[in-house]
Amino acid sequence: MARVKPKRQGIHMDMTAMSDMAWLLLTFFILTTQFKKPDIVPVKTPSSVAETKIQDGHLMRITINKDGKYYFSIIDDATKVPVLEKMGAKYGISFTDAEKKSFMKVSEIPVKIGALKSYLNLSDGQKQEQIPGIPLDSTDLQLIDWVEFTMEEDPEVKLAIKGDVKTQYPQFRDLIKQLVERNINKFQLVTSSEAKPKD
Amino acid sequence: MAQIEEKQSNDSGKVRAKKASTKVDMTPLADLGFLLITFFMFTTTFSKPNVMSLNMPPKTPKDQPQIEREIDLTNSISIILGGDDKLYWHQQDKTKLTAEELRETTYTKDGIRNDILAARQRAKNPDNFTVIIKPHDDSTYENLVNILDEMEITQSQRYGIVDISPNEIKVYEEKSGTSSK
Repeated sequence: MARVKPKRQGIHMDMTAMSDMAWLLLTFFILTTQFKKPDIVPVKTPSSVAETKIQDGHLMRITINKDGKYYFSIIDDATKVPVLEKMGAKYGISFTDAEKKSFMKVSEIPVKIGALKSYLNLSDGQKQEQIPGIPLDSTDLQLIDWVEFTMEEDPEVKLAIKGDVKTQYPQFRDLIKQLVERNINKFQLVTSSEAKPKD
Repeated sequence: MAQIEEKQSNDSGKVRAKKASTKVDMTPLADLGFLLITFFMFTTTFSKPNVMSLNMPPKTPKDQPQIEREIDLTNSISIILGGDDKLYWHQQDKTKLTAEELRETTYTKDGIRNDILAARQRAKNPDNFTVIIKPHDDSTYENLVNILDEMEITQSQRYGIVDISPNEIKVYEEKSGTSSK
């Protein structure tokens, strides 16, 4: 007896719509994405109920890690090199074009100005290991110089301070004290967000 | 995998050129699209960190004597941030403070927040109620941020971060049992 086999119909789905949507989303993400610059200093920020978001441009940042070491970063690419040149002029160091190019890639300045030249010539791997921090005490105020030169270059710049949860208070106080001494009175403390308690 | 649609030949016997279908399999295209989406979704920075503004008073010129403003003690509360996440408050004059008057509290909701609000209730002039934050050297940056956060939550408009006075250090150490270094 001949059995009538039902004709097998392959399942064909029209993928066009799905792929359309996928590429549309992709375009959106490509256009909106901003690559995170790798943080060379791991910092866990305390949380707060503050709702203001950090701004994108016109920003410089002082990072204090848990050992109380200071790092400085300029967020705007346009001001980076002029500030470096001014710092170089003040401390009598001249930087080559290659070093300036390397400086553009540095997200956080982790060494004192005297050691910056040799730091910039290191390879990326070696840079990871060299993070002694910028010194700050009453005799050596180069961290404050970085801040002042950045403010000269970009008058609208705001200063963000990013501290670790374990940073000891004296480290923070010393920094604030030196900044207030130069009439820099406004700071933005970087925190992670936390829900505001309902009352 | 592009599928080919076969057309039934009709009875007239005419041999027709087989028409190749134009349907293209979209699966790899969709796959690739989703793969890239996943990549960009993970690398994109969704949440920007928040910032909390902190304004410090401008320094007073050295030749100008600092004006000691008389603050009614009930109109102010001094908060001392200690080490090991300990927290104390008092409403006394900083030179006359004793260990009995320094009260211990916590960073929790029922701790310092209630103390600030209660002190404000007691204040003679709530509009001028001032919170004085005095972090001890043993406290951490997180403690400071937490207290500034409480300022925001309790809507205390007037607050200041002030250096802790020697007498307060003495009383704090007596109270907390830590010896001076």
